[in-house]
Amino acid sequence: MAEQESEYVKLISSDGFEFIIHREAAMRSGTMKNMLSGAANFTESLENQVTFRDIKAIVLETACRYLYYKWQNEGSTTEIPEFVIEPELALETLMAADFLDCKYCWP
Amino acid sequence: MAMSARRLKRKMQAPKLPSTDPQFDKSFELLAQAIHEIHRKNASNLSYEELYRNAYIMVLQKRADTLYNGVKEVISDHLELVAETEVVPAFVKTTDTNARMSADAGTSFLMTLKRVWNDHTTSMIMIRDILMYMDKKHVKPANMPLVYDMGLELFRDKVIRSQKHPIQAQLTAVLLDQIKMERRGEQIDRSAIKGAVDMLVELYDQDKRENVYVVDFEPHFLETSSAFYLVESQALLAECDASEYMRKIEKRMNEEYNRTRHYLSPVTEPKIRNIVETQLITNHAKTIMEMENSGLRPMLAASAIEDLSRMYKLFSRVPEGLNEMRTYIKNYVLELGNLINAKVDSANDNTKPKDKDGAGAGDKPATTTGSLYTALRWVQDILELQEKFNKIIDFAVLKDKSFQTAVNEAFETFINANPRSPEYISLFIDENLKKGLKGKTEEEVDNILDHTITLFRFIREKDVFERYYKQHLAKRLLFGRSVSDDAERSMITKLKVECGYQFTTKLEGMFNDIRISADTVTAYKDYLDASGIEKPKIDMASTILTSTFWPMSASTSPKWIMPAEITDACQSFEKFYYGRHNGRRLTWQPNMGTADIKASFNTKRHDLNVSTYGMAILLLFNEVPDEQCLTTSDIQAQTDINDIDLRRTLQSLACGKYKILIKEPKGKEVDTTDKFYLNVNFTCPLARIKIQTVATKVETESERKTTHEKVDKLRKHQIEAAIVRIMKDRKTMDHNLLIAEVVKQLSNRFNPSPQMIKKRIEELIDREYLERNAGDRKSYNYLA
Repeated sequence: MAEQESEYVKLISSDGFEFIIHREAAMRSGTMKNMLSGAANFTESLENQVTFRDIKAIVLETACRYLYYKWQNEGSTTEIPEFVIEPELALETLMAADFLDCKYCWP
Repeated sequence: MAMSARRLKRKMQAPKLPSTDPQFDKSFELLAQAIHEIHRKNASNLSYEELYRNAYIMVLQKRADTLYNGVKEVISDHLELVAETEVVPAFVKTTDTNARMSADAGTSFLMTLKRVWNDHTTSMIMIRDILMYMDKKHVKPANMPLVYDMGLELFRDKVIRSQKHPIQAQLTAVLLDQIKMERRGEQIDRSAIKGAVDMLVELYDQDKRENVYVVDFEPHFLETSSAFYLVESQALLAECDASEYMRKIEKRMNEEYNRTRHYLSPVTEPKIRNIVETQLITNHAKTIMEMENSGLRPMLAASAIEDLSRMYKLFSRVPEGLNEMRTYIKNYVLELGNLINAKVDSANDNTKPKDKDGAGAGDKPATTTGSLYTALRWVQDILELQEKFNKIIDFAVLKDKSFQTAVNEAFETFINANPRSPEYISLFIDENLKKGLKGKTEEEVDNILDHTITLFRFIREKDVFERYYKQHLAKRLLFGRSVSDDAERSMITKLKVECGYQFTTKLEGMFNDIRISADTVTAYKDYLDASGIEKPKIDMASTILTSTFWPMSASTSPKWIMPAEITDACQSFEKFYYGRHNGRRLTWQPNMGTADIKASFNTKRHDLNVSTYGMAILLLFNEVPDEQCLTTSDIQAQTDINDIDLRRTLQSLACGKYKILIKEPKGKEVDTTDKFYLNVNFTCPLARIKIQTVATKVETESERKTTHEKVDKLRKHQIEAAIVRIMKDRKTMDHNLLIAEVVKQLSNRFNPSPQMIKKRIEELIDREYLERNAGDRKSYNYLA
């Protein structure tokens, strides 16, 4: 395990795009949280990078945007702005969300 | 489209990949391998994403069941292997006869088990993480044990309760062995036990709805503990005294408590405590208390606060423990109290010979008679006893109210067992309120009186006490012997607090009389000066006492023959007084007065302060030639003083410190035939001499009888008054209720017996205050 948990993690989409996002944002996904922290020392947590073999870049980007959106708006008392998703991406995004376990929307 | 459109969720589980068995097998093989790797602690070579994705796909393909069971089997196989290859080899060999060796072997067995357990839980966390999607989508909705819990169950069944290996028995035996060693005082590795216990606590037995610790281990532990302490208590009782026994069991209890805190489960605490308490305290409470030379009695006798406090704390743990201790203490107090009472009885039996000892006691020879001494001693003893037990109650039993009550009850019982207690207590107060006694400071006296009041509280016959107190107060006031008005008043205030206003009005009235009398005397002097009437030959200061306030009654004015000089003075005063107050009647009470007379002896002149009777007797000797004598009966005939007072006065004149008269034959007691001469050669360095009467001492039997008759008479009135008060209020009342009510109302003064009340009721019916109810013979009507 990396002695010093780095602040950012790298996410790689199935088509090879790399997204570097804040660890805190990544932790908003239950799946990524399991990968990157806790007792389990899987390769992902050692390398600080995750390769998603089933998620395309365009969906992963939406997912990253959402994770940031969630991180930022968590616990907010004011009205939360709407998170917009392109209709043509809706289905794939939804499946990715299920895979990534974003609890905020699927409690 | 907003993400929050959550109702789409269920409908979107479309299969993504064709579900083919080879595909599944491949995926499962991958996971099984991964689990093996995890067990080998090689997780870092695995990609979480890959494993998770595979499990995810399997679940999407509706193969979750197969997956779940497959994983279960893999883990189960692994655990069986672990049990056989790791746990069993660590068993304590029965050949390890050496205790120390087997202890170490036990520890290492526990350590092995703990390591296996830790590995397993760590693995299970990782496996759970990988199979998270399955847990969420399949296991939870199906209400099956989640993967992690399933892992714990497998550990329970395959390792701890293994069918193949006696791991369970081994574990229990090792744990008990370790605890036994610690109880023997040996060092053990607590953390090893704690690890094992924590493991057992974490494992759950669904059937029994308790964790495995409680189901499998605790009963054994309690059973062996019980047996251990049974033996222990016998051994301790055989070799220790009570104090040490209690110290030891206190230590044991702390040990057991710490044991449950440090490495057993807190749920065991009440159970083991109960066992220790039963085995060490409940079963032996009586034995401990009754231990010779060291039980409760010697502890109380020595006021061993520490031991008593320990006993209290220990006994308070078990039901009935304190009850028994309390009863024991109560009986002990009673016993001591009865001893004090017995001392009084035996002292009274030999009062006569003791009188002589008392006479030598210095500056107040006449009053310190044996029986007065007994009375004071009695109160003093009780006060000391009370102080002792107050201390015990305050420090040893944490001011437990029930103990206080028990001790109070004991005090009440034995104080009231002494019929003279009201008199004694009043005497004691009298002694302390008298002027200049024993060099006590005012605070000390006040303190003593405070304590005495607590004794007063125990007296049931408060009216008897009131009577004695009045008598003693009267003497103090009339002879001017009170320490101070303040002290007297503070005492009355204390009584008022105890018994209420009614109790003390008369006492306060007595004070008022004294004050008013002083004014009257001044007025009388002015009157004599102003009117120019011939003054009587003597100066007279009269104290006018309201007859209802004071203990002596006007009707029984003592008869005596007044010396002529006195008669003149009295008449003069009566004339003055009747002139000022209409309808009052004065009765002279010579037994309450004092007189200053000038006496010329052969060599010297002295001012003598004597009682009024003493004066009357001495005046007789004015008429008698020096060498002549008067016998007791002569004096009696000439003065007509009643027998008891006469003897007393003669004693004070002839047998006291200052012998104004010489008695023949010499001796303490005065006989009717005794002869008295004036001691013409009397000398004394002091010019002014106070001849004290042999007065304030304990009543004689006959006086006591009179006092009690008077008290009884008063009680009759009080009972009648109470009955009428109650009936006036209720109009009609049942007999029993009426009696109960009367007893209640009078209880702070005395305890009337039902027979007494019944008699009064009949009396009141005769006098037509009440009538029997025509319909119900058992109740009465009030007649207005």
